[in-house]
Amino acid sequence: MSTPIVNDGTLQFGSRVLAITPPAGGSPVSFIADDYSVNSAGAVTKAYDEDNAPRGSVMTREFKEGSATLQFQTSAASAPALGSTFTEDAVTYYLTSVGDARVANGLGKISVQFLERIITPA
Amino acid sequence: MPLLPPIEGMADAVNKERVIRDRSFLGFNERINGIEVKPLTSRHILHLDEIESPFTMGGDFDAFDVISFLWIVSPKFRPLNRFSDAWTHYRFVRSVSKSAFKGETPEDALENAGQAIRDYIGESFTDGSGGNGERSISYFSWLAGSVAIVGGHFGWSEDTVLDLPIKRLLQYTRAINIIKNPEAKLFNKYSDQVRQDFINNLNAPANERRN
Repeated sequence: MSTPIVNDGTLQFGSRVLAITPPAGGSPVSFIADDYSVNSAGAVTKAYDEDNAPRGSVMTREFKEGSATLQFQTSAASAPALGSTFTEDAVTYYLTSVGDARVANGLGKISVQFLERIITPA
Repeated sequence: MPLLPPIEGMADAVNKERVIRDRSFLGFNERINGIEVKPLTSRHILHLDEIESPFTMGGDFDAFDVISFLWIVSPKFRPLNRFSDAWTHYRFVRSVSKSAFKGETPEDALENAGQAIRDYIGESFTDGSGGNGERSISYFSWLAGSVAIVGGHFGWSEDTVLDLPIKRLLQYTRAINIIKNPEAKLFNKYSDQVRQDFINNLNAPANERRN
């Protein structure tokens, strides 16, 4: 991660606030997400002729997926559940992995992974 | 992502962490209520545990505990093996017995002195693990772990590690942890709490609706 030239008193570079909604719905809970990263890859299908020489290819976009480390106060909130959703940069994601929480001084940090959700919940 | 408003206190907290971390490498002495002390080291903690100081072992403290603490972390400290050591100790106690205690009443003065010591210890452990309130089973002294991790990594002697300021020792330990496990989760004592207060405020309306 690059180091910002100026820290203006808001969240450090690479961090953001995610409003995460439980799988069953209800009010979203905000978490600070560190090391937030999203990967937008392409899925390539290759075609070959009878001599196994390249004949063509087609690429479609893959699901966007990413990871982050969420911070939460153990007395005020619990770690989000699998399947919880959030929307960031006009894309909705759901949590596909929630790691074990590391806790210190009443704060918890937890690794999550998420995948683009194609059908956005109503 | 929408632009976030500035978080009150965030820049100060980040700067405080930076100053504590960076300054520890300059090797300056510190002050407790104006009294010059060395940066807290593992060897100091050993000495303090040896006399069962309430500042490291917990419990109530009195003026004697404050003076004992200040003596152990003083640049003038030495084990009392010879008469000249006892004389140095006597002169130290006489010099700090008034200046260490500042307050309108003796009770205030004692509490202020104790708080200044707790602040000094707390700042020394800025990069400590913080703990989760659960004690894990111990199979060796925590000092053995420090020497093995930091001394082993850099090839430093046991004495070097024991005399390393805690502020630097903990930063080295963190750095080594990150080298060995880039996914390790670390906490920033001051700025993480400021961020959390900010998030708690964001969540307050939803929490009120739930309650």
